[in-house]
Order: sequence, then structure tokens, then C-alpha cells
Amino acid sequence: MTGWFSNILPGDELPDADAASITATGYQRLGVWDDEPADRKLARYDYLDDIVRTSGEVFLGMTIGCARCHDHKIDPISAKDYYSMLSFFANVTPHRQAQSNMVQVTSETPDPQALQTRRNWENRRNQIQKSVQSLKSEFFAKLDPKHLPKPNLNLSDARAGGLVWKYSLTNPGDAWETNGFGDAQWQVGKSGFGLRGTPGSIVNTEWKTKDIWLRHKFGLAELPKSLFLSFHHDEDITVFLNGRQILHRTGYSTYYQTEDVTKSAIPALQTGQNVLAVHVKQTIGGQFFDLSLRGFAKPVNLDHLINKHGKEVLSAGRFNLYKKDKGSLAKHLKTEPSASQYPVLAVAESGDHPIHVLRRGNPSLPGPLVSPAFPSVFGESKLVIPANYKTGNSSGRRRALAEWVASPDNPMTARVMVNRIWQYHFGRGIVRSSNDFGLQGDDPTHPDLLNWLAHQFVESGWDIKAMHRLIMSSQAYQRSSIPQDGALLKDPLNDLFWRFDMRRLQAEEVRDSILAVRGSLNLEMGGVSVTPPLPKIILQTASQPDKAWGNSTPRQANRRSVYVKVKRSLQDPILLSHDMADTDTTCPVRFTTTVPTQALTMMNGEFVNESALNFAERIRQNAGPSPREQVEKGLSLVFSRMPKPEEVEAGVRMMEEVAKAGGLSPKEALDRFALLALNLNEFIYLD
Amino acid sequence: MKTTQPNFCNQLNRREFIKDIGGGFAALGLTGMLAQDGFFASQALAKSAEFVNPLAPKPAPLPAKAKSVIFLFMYGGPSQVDTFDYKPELYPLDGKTIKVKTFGRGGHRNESRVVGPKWKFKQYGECGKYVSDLFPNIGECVDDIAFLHSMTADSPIHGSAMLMMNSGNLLSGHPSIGSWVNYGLGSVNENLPGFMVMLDKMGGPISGAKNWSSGYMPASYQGTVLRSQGTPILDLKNAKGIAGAEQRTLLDHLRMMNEGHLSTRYDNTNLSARVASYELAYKMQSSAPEAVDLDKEPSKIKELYGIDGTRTDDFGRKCLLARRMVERGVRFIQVYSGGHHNDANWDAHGDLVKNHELHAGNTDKPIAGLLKDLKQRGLLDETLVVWGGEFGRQPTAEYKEGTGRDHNAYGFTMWMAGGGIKGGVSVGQTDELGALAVEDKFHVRRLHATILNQLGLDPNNLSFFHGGLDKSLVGVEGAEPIKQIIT
Repeated sequence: MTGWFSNILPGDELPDADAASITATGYQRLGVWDDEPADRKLARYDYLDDIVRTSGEVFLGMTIGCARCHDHKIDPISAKDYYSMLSFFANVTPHRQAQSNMVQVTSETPDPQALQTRRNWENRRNQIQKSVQSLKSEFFAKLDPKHLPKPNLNLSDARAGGLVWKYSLTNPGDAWETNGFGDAQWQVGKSGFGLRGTPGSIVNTEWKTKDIWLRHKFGLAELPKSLFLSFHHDEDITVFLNGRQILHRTGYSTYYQTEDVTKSAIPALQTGQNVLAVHVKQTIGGQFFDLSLRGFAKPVNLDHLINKHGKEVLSAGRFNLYKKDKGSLAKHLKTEPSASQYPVLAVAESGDHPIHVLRRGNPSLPGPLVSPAFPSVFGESKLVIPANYKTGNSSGRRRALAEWVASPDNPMTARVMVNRIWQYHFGRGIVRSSNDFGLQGDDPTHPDLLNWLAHQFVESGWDIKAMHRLIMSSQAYQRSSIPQDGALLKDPLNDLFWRFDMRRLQAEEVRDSILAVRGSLNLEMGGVSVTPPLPKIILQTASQPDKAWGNSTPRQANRRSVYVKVKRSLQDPILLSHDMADTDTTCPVRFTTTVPTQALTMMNGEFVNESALNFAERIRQNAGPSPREQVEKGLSLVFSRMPKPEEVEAGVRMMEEVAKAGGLSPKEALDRFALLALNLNEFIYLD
Repeated sequence: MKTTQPNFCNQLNRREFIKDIGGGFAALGLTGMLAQDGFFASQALAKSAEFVNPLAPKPAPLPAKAKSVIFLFMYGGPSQVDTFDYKPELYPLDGKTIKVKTFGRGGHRNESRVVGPKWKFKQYGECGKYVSDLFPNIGECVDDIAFLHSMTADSPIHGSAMLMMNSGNLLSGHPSIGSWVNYGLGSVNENLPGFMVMLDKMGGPISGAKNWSSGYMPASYQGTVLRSQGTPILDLKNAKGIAGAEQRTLLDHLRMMNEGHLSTRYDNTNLSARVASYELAYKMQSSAPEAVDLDKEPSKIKELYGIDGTRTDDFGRKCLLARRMVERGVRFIQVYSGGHHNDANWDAHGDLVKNHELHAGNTDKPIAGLLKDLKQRGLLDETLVVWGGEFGRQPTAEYKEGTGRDHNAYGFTMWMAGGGIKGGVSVGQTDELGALAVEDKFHVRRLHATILNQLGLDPNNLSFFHGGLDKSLVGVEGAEPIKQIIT
């Protein structure tokens, strides 16, 4: 299997799966999803629907999603086809608020020595951290409460009498950790839980099985400002607060550790009812679990408290040890070698989930059982997934699907892809409706050309670059966009490609071009998304304005727009106003709307104005003080051609007049000219 | 045979064309009139084209009762039994644990402790409507209001319920109701956006801009955030250091240079549209500040809205701004009371009294002021005012102690006034506890259908082709306007 998408569907199931191929499966996690669904079953199908619908339109040019509730009204796609396609993804694990959407990968070129260095570094870090942590915990336990503000939340552990929990010794299933889960049938017991006689334990409720799930509800009228979790576990413990994971520890402890969980847990707290949910897993016996949660109405800084009272509470010797460890930890953290393992957004599978045709798309009305199969319009054949496609927890279904999609015999995939490449060059596809090759879509204006390009594409081994070369070396691509009256009369829509259709730069191209012209486009590739500055008025639309966005360094902020973080609820005005794709559904063709607010953003916006100043500076450095040379330099950069004498003349006149109108210095006049240049139609529209 | 459906995202050739001529395109969703080849061919050869703003006003296809909508969004979910849904039988049950089916963020429950209504109710107006002491000022307006006591929604969780109330769907990606109105009717005033949103000073609602997004429609239909203080609209003010005369000179030269560029590309109306859009932007810059300038309002009016430096000042300004927008032809204005998290909005899970006193106290006078002011200007007849949250609250307590109530989408109250809506009526009922709509249940879609209907749009015909389907605000199953409250 070759092709650009060979990893997107099955990257984790391939025999040679690596960090890159697993990362590619993140595509299946990028759809819209509801983190607190009112109807979990429906939300699950909505999630799967998004993958099937998008994949159907993007890879196959088929509006398969229309068959979710009934057979497709126009195209030969049945509801059975839809659910058969959906079952390729049936075992993908659900979206969760917790960490389970992330998969740990090992970097592509793991160097054994680097791996070992990293491991050693981590071991040493853990060792010092443990020591610091134990001293801190001891301090917190022994500290006289008079040094602490009054607690406004106090869930006590067994040392102070214990806490009543609901618990289950059998797996409670999906969503057990969320606030709305019904635990009425669970048993009731007081903490701690475990096997009597486990060292350091106070057991009020006996627990001797492998796993225990616990829930405790508590009310809050007012949120604390600081929060401390003390816990004792044997063995692995995961703690959730209102469905969000706030702590995970493996192994066992021999004493009550205390953690300041202010940062991780307070955002999860809410006024009204809260639910603390805990899972403890045991492998070798000697089980124990207990925890307490203390919240204070005022901030508590544990580090300051230790510095102040450490000597008296811990004794001088142990306080010195704390200070020494703390110092070595700080030093050690500075020597961190690069990680060869890192988490990526990706899919994983678990279980075997049967899929039925759902009548009217309703999850409560299951019809006949289906199995993974390709739409029947491609011919009836039973799909047999080779046994060796099954890897670990994965069914191999997505690998089988990807192989069919990427097969040279698939009549759709290559045509759909070359049509898109064509569209990106010409502004419209040979089939204008590039996501819909069905009966509702457009006929190809050049069917033979489409077939021939598709054939070339497959022959080249799905080589996108080769396809660019082929298209760009065509006469059609090289034609001028200049209008001709006779041709306009005969073919006003340019169905025949008698000329090149002018097109506006797309949103990302607008931003990138501005950065390029001003000389600060950072072409670095890959890595974590960046967050260029956003206007305050945009940030204020977020429910938590101070936490809504990041703060990239200027160099990082100037990276290409594909690396700008996509946050569905918060969008950069320069991109949004130029019709960037809506982030919730597949967008085959961008809109090109022209509205006054675009002009406002381009004339008055922070980004464009900052860019204009940079651009002017670049011109000054390259062209010297002569206005004529400055204009010539500036226009040659925005036009990507040498300007004509009358254009230079117009620019010089502009600088003179704007200087007169505003009483500006020559420097300021050039600044204004740079702003004008970035607003020229020729800069934004391609000939 | 090919069907010729209106298609934007796929941009069938003719749609592409309409788009190219700069924007009469939105009209296509309303009428097929333009879809005649002769029209396009003649436009294609026009040597120069006037700029047609996509938001240019379009005639309503049906007789319209309302020209504008002001949606007062009580984010977080106000409690119906403490505001407008009078339940005398609930008071004596306070503190008793009773059997009642509820569903909120705390999940499904079959029994809970009743929290009796925390405010007394009093009768107001000729209609004798019972209103709680939280809203003494709105109480005076009840003869102009139609109360919907049996609203239901599909989700009792903020994120999805907000999207449902704003866009008719539980997931994002669908145009908000303001975008539908923008798409259907355009804006009468080309110097102002047709759909404006004012947020609470604490922050936006959950999912932020998704609540006023245009979803799969062009971004030009999305809501524009309007601020009552500082620069009212993003980038409305000249960049720092650029004076008015300078900006004008700059724009003149920009136009001249762009016209030079256009001369050899005379058939491309996108280019001329872009030239014209700068002039329109300039006009916006000079006229919008006037539109938001409250200083010119007489002190009597400011007083009416509670613009007096007290707690009602902020929401009062927003309500007054909303009226000024209506006067200037803006079609859809949404004003949020409440933002951010927890008690910064109407989400009273902890201390009900503290929460609702705060938010009702901030908004009661401004809202009543708005209704009275619209009425005295004769604007109420053509302005539809909608009040409500994404859902209501349960009659019972959320947790062991306290007065906090969890969410309730099984039954809640919203109200409408003006714009062809009957005054002094109450329709639909919840059970005696106020927990569940039992009579004339009105799904959110019915509310949407009513709003569109009052504006002269047919809710079941206003559609947009996307992803292989003609999509509408009220969904494939459709919805009828609430006839009982329409004059």
C-alpha cells in the first residue's frame, strides 16, 4: 500500500507502525465531539459518523453520511453500506476527557544510548522527587493547622475517622468516573479499603480483590483557592474529579503522600455537586487505598510554609535534607535529555463491538447486524480480513479498509485526489464538487483528462509532487488570466480552461504571504502548534479568557499558518475573515466572500499593522533612503515582479501626499506605504 | 438527470458564478429567480460591477411582523420556579425528599430533596401574571409578554444545550440562528453587521464563538462581537498613530492603484468588490462610533435602563445599545447575561439565592427599560424580544446541603415580547413541581421556528445545501411556529 493516506486510517495497525504512522491516525480524533454528552450512545455514533462521513467524502468523493438514517436518496448507497463502513471503526476507543486519546510513541530514530541516558535521567529524577515528596508530605501531616487558613473543603481519610464511599468490585463500564453516572447500586463503605494487616494501613472496609472502583460525592457552595490531596495506595491508583483525571500513580506507597493539586484539580471543581472517583488496581496482594482532600479559601504555598516552619516541624536534620534534595532536583531538571518517547493524539482499539443497521439512525432501534464491508455499488464480495492483520488489541479492520481505498483498482480514490490537486492549482476541480462525485455533484468538465491524470497518478506510485509537476507544466496552467471578449461570450464560466481563473489567496496564504513579504516567515517544520497573539476582543469571547490561548515567542508566532493551533472556539481574525475552512466539517472548496470587515482587519488590524512596520523596515534596509527605490523594492516584493514606472510613480505620489495629510516624516510615510502595499488587490489575488 | 440544488460549499458552476458577482448569492436560498442563465450571462460581461454586499438587505419571502430580534440570553439556565413559573404547591414541600424524575449534570435521579422557591410571587398587569420578586420591573411589562412555560431541550448539559439553543444542534458546525437570519434577510444598514453579539464582562459562554458561528455557511454571516466599552467592533478604529486624514489619503491611493490593476482585468467583479469593500469599511468606521455612542442619550433614558453607575449599569448599556442597533437596521442582536464558569452566570448549583439575586438584580431593570423604551418609540411592534437560557433548573436540590439546583431540560420557561407576539399570555405548563413540561411541550425548534416566522422567513423552507443535504435550522423533521402566541 502506498499513498499519502496510507497511515491516516491504519497507522497503528501496520506491521511497520512507527511514531509518524501512529501520529497520522490522529485524523480520526479531530472531529467534533461532545465531552459531556447527554446521550452517550448517540454521542458514540456521532463520533463514528464523523469519521465515516468525512472519510467517504474526502477519499471517495461519496456522500456516504447521507445514508445514516435511510438509504441515500440520490446515490446508490444503502444504510447497510453506511453501517458496514462504520463497523471498520467500531472498535476505536471512545473519546474521553481523561488521557486515553493520547498514545505514547517512540521517536522515529531511537538511539539505544540516548534511550539509556534518558532512562537514567528519569530514574534519578524520580528518586530525588520521591525524597522531596516524602519530606513535604511528612511536613504537611505534622504542620500545626494554625499555620493554615481555614479549610472550606475537608474530606478526611482513615487517620481522621474515614470517609464514606460508594464502591464496586466489578468493572462498572464506560463513564463510571463522570459526575452523572448512576452509582445507586454500588456498595457503601468507609475508608480505608484493603486487606487488614497491610503495612501502614487503617482498614475500615475489607477489600481483597484485584480492582476496586470508588466514588464519593460532595457539595461545594464556594470554590477553594488551594487544594491538597493526601493518598495512600497499593497498588496503581487513578483519581478523577468530575470526570477529569487529576492523579495517576503506579506501584505502592507505604505512607500518606500529600500533593498540591491546586493546578490540576481546581479547574475541574464546580459549585454544587462534585464527584471524586478512584480506581485502584492490585496485582500481587496487600491491597490498600485511602485518601483525603483538603481545600482552603485562601492560597496556600507549601514551599513557603516549609521554609518558614520546616526546621521546627521536621527537625533540623530532615529540613536540611529537604533543602539539599530540593536544590539537586532543580539542578537535575536543567539537565533533561531529549525525550525519545512522547504522547501523540492517535487512535487505539479495544474490544469487539458489533454494529447493527440503526433504523432512522436511532441507536435505540437496532436492525440487522453488519460486518465490515465496502459499499455494494463497488461489487458484492465478502471481505475477509487476514488473520495476521490483528495486532495487539487492534482488529486490523482499518488496515483492510485503507488497502481497499488505496488500491489501484479503486475507481474513486485516485480520481478524487488528482481532482483536488487540480483544484488547488486552478481554483476549481475538473469536477467542481470535489467532495461529491455522485449524482448531485457536477459532471467533470474534462472527463478524459481526469481519467488520464488519475492513471498517471497511480502509475507514479501516488506521487503528489510528480502530479504537481505534470499539472504545472501544462499549457492550461500556464495560460494568462487576461480576459478576451469573444471567449467570455462563448464560455463565461471558463469551463474549457481557455484562461487561468484569477483566485484570491486562501486565508492561510494571505497570512503566510504577509509574513513572507515582511521577511519574517519562519519555515521550520513540525512540532507543537503555535499560538500567535490574538486581539484582546477575540480572547474575551472565551469562557476563561486568561486560559484560552498560549503565548508563542515572536519567532514561533511567525510560523506558517498550518502550524497555528486550531481551537474551534477561538479563531484568528486574519484567517477567519478570509474564509478559512470551518473547523467542524470537511470543507471541499473555500468560500471567497468580500465584506467590509475584511478591509477593517487588513487596514486596522494589529497583525497587518505590525507587519507593515516590519515590511517598511525591510524596505529601508534594502533600498536605502530614496522614496523611488523604496517603492520599487516594496512593490517588487508584493507583486513578485518588477513594478512598472507608472506604478512606482503612483507609490511615490502616495508617500508624498500621505506625508502631507498627516504631517509625517519620510520614515512614517514609508510605513504607510508598506500598509498600502499589503492591501493591494494584486497582492491578494493571483493572476 | 442532474438536480440543480443551491450548493455553496461544493460550488456548482452557477453558484460559483453568483459568488463571483460579489454576493447576490445568498438570495439563491430564498428564491430560484436568479437561477436563469440569461441573468448570469449578462452579469458576466458587465464591464464593471457595483459592489454587492453579501449582507445586503433582502425582502422577506413571507409577510414579516418583526424586523429585528433581540435575544436576551440568560446563560447558565435560570430557574423557572423562582422566576416566572409560579408553583404554590412547591413551597410547603421545602426540605422534603420526594419522588421526581430529573436529569442534570449529576445524572438521572428518581428522588431528591425539594428546594422550595426562594422568592415570593406577585400578580402584575391586567393579565394578572404571577412573577417572582426577582423581577419587579419586568413584572410591570407582563401585558406585553408571552410566556412559554413548557420549553424542552435535548440536553441538560451546558455545552451541547448552548449549541442547541443557538444553532438547533447538539454538536458544533451548524449556523447559529443569527446567521440564518443574516443569510435570509441581510442587514438593512450596510454600515453595520447584521448579527451582533454582546457578551458578559466576565467572559464568553462555554464554546465561545461557536455560539455565534456561521457553521457551514460563509463566515460573513457569523455574529460580530460588539462591546459596550472600548472599541466596539474588532479593528474599527484606525491603527495606532494613523490619523483620519492620513487614512483617507491612504485609501484614495489604494483605490487608484487597485483601479489600475483592474483596468486589464475588467471582467473580474471580485476585484471591484474588494475595492468597494474598503469604502464601505471606511463608512463603517465613521458611522459605527455614532451608533454606539450612548452619551447622546438623554439622562431620562439612561435612567430607564439603569445606566446609573450601579450594578445595572453594564447590562443597561448593552440593552440600550441593542435598541440603537435595532433602530439602525441590525437584524439579530444577542445579549448575554452571564459568562465564564460557576456563579459568574445563572448556573446556580451552590447558593441559589446568592446566584439569582446577583444575575436578576443586574438585569431586571435594564430588560424592563428596554421593553418600555421600545414600546414608547413604537419599535416593540417590529422588534421581537426573546428571553431565556439554554435550559431551566430542577425543583430539587443538587446535593445534600444547600439550595443549589441542577440543570433541567425537561421543562423550563422562556418568554417573547413584541414583533407580532401576543402580550399577557402564558402557554404550556409544567407539572405541579415545575419539573417536567406536561402540556403543549415546545421543543427549542418550535422557538426557532417562531422567531424565523415572525421575521417573515419560512422555517421549513429556509435552507442551505451542504454535505449532500438541504439543511435548515429546524432540522429535517421541521417545526411549526408556536401559533398560540402569534397575533
